[in-house]
Amino acid sequence: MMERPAPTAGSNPKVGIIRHLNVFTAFALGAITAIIVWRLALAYLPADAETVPLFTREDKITLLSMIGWFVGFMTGIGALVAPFRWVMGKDLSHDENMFLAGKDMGVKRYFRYTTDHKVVGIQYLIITMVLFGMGGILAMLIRANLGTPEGGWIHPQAYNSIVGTHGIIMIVATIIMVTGPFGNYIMPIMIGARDMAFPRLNALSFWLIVAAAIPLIWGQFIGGISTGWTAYNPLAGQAPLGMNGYIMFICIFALSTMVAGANITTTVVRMRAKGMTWNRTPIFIYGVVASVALALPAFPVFFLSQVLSGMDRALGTSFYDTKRGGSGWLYENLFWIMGHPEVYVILIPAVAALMEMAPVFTRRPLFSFNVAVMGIAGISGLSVLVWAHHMYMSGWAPLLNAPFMLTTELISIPTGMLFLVLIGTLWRGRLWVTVPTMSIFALLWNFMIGGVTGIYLSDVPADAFLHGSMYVTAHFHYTLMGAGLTGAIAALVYWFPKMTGKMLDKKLSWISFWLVQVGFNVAFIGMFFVGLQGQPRRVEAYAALFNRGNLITSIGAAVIMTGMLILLSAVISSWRSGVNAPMNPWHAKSLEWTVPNPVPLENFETLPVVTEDVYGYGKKES
Amino acid sequence: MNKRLFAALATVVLGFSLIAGIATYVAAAKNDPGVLVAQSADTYTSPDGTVYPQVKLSLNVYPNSLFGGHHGAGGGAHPDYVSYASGGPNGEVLSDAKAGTNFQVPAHTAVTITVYQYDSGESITNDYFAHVRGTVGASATFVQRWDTKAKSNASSEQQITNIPADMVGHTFTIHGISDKKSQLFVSVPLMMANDEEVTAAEEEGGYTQFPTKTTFTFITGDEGEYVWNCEFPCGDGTIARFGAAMSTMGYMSGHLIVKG
Amino acid sequence: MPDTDTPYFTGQWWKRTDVKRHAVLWVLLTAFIGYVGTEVQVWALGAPASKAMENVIMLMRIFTWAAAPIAAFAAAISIGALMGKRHYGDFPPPEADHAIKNSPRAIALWIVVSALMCLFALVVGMIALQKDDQTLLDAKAIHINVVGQQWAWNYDYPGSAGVRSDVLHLPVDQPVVFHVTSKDVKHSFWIVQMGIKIDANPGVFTQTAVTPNKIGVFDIRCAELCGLLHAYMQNKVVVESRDDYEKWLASQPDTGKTTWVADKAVA
Repeated sequence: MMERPAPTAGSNPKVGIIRHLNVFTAFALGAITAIIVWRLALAYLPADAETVPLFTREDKITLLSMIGWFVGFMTGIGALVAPFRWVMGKDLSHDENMFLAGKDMGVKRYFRYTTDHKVVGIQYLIITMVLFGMGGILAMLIRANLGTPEGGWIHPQAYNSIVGTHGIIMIVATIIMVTGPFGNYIMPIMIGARDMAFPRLNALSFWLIVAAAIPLIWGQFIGGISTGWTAYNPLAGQAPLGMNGYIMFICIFALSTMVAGANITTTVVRMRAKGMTWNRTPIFIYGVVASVALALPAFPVFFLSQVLSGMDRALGTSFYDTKRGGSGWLYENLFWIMGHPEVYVILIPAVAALMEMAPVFTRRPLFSFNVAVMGIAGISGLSVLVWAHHMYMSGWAPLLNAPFMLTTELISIPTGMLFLVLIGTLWRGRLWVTVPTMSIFALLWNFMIGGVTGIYLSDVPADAFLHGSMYVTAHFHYTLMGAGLTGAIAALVYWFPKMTGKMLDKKLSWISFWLVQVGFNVAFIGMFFVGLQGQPRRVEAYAALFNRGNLITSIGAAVIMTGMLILLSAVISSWRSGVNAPMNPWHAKSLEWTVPNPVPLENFETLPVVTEDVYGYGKKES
Repeated sequence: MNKRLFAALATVVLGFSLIAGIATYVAAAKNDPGVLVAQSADTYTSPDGTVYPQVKLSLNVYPNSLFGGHHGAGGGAHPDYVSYASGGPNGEVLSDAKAGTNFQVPAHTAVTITVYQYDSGESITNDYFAHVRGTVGASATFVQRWDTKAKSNASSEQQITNIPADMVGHTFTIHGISDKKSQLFVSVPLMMANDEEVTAAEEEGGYTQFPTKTTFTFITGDEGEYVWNCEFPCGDGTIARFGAAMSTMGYMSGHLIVKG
Repeated sequence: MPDTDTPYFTGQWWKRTDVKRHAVLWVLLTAFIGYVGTEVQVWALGAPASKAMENVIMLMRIFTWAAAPIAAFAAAISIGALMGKRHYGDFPPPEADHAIKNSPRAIALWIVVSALMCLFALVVGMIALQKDDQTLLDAKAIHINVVGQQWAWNYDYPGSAGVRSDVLHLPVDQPVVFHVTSKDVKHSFWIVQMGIKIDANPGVFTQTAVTPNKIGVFDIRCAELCGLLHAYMQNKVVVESRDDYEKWLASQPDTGKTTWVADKAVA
């Protein structure tokens, strides 16, 4: 389908405005638009009447200028060029498409609206690292505060904002950490395609995240947020102006996720190589598709919950205000209908990535591919039925506690299937000890603790003690960070050679792995302990009996930070000057290892034809 | 290899320095850095005969931060927010108070606080807080009109256990973390000053000449850190009126440190 | 390549050395995980002050011991894999001896066991839930109103002469139903050592119930972030004998009307 362009002398003459648009024009146009809208709104919006229940003018001004930023940014990055052309009855020319694909662009293509999935994958990797950095700094502030006896030196307003912002940044970072970099870079090559189904949407999904992050940061300087990452109303209605930053962050990020979800799903369903039946599709692909397919129905609900919250604040509606006919329970339901599937959006790709790596590092086939698929499907399906286990104690519907207890405990069955697949692959394998290999063991350890503590929490009478305590915080860090982040880091080490052409420094990645895993367990075991002793969540000061547990957790956190900084350093220095990687350093059998480094623009010379699955390791019985 | 190890170490050091820097910035960003230490006074004998050492504190409550308080010239970031602040010994308005909402008192001591309340008020949302609680005798000494110019009572002094629920200006409510330390809960309603006088004074660029004056004594227990806040929400235009000034440290909330 | 059916379970598979080794590991680890997991958690929970809390502790014990064999199985396989011959270096080791891709028997066993565990957890949970619900319906229960406000709790005693307090007083061995509401945002009423919790929502009343069975002073903490001073929204509950409770109620000044009259509790 791709025709070779006629050679033209000199540079491309037919590339129009997109030649001039990049991240700098985007930031500039976004900032200018935000300022203009702000001044106009400030000057012309009417004052609030004296007797309104909610003063909304300042929220209107803030939201409008944030929307102004968003429109300006997306225009400045070039997202509107192609749609505009289409409305005029034309389309981008071939030369413009090749320009957008980043042909012959060098490093500059990472700063533009580039459509090549490999460029988008690297861009996602960078933004993920930036988000983790920001979230990690906030985590260290939290732990520095809580690590001092009885806490309390960060004053409550700043602390609540730090806690909430840490939470939402980390949630977004963990959502994109596997499907972003690896779902974009590796997945199309792994299925034998030249790019994704909608390359321009791919670029869009990335730049939407950059556009989204700014309002959140901006919000920190206009009062911050006073809620946790869950942004419960009615407290969110009472929060300072920074809450609008959260609302915009989520709304724009939800758009990004929906776009990415449509793109990834279509690509996998329609563009697998000839002969790659569903039985021969690698398990990682299933994980990525399940994750975005879950996000597709869930994130619109999140988007809606925030739109209603924004309307309550800026327009004085009463969706969540009990005094005027609304209900805080409405918010909780909308939020958790997204919130529970979302944790599986985070977890499934990480576990699927490790399931993809397990056969490579045990040199034997994946144990029961079918069970792995069933497990992923079962978790995805059941996850939309369990949300009210976050609301056992809310008093919303006590009669529904038991049914939700049932559905929540049922999820342990498909989750167990994934354990079985990993354990079965370890059995009688030949262990090749690398960071990805040890990450499998770390996942089993962390996810077992996370899963079992989840069983306690799913039990209503036990939850009457545990809900709202630090036990819950420790539980979800064990599942999302202990299992999720471990899988993502393993994926980074595994696919780093293909994505950058260099091997990641071995010694440093080992040091980082052990520091992060040991520090993580020390930190969060300490947190389970203070939760059991009775420390509530999201408190900036606490009774003296929690001193010891909090100190242990803060020490563990410092160790995690050290490990992550070392990993950051390893990534940067190996990328710049590491050992060149061979085409297939792990001697793995999936399609991405059949293309050379650096990966050519269109991935394959000729599209491959697949005749068997990728798990053909181990000595065949003769 | 060594160069990479060195780079890794440098990254760690740089990372922690960045965090330390941000932490310093966050710690400094308070609305009220000062701590008002209560002054010693004569010993106090409680109704049951026990003798305690005594300290005294004097506070003012202003309807805004423009002309009094610790938020700097022009009222700081939120000139329209109600401000609790340290005032003169007879309730004089101090426009450059060094402290406002953080207080330090010794342990096992009788603490006598006098609050001069310059703001108007209305019906309180939860009439639980219209009663005097946690003080010695569950009562307070109250003067409805204190003359700041003459420095004397302009109406009679009475002992009160509560005030009418529709004439509450603010409250002073101390509470804290539940742990091995003593539970300290003190809540005193502060009646409103005359509405017309308050508005008239504000138009002239100052505060009323006749605030209300409430004096109460409570006994502290062990050392510890408690907080206090006003329990009569007045953050108009926010949910339950508990947003804006009510939810910003240094205006109607602060720390009470029991130490020494 | 052969998708061989259950090659692991051929012959006297239980006598194979590697199986025996893993079985020993499994038994030892089950004991260790069950014991340490239970004892450390129960130690942290502290002494219970009600039947509901005793149930919570018992549930932790039961679930930890029930989960121990599963965790131990995963641990035994992992340790066994790590104890085998490990290969390091830049090149992969030779292919593993078996190209086995499946074992329907192992899968079936695993699914059946996990389904049974699930059912077990559900049944145990339902029984405990049922016991907690019964306290709510107890006709002999006293009713207390709890009002949460940013950032302090206060309590009303409808049976009394309008007594209201900031420290909760309860008579021992007497079922009590709490009717909880909020004046502003969401809070959560948590009596820590009694193992009960219910959110305080503005505009509605929610219920929870407990029978304290120990005399002493315990902690009440707000368990839902409610703004600036959420960390300090805590006070104490004093459980005392029936006589002391009556004396305390009588000694409180008649401090105004109760906010709400007790009604039949919702199941």
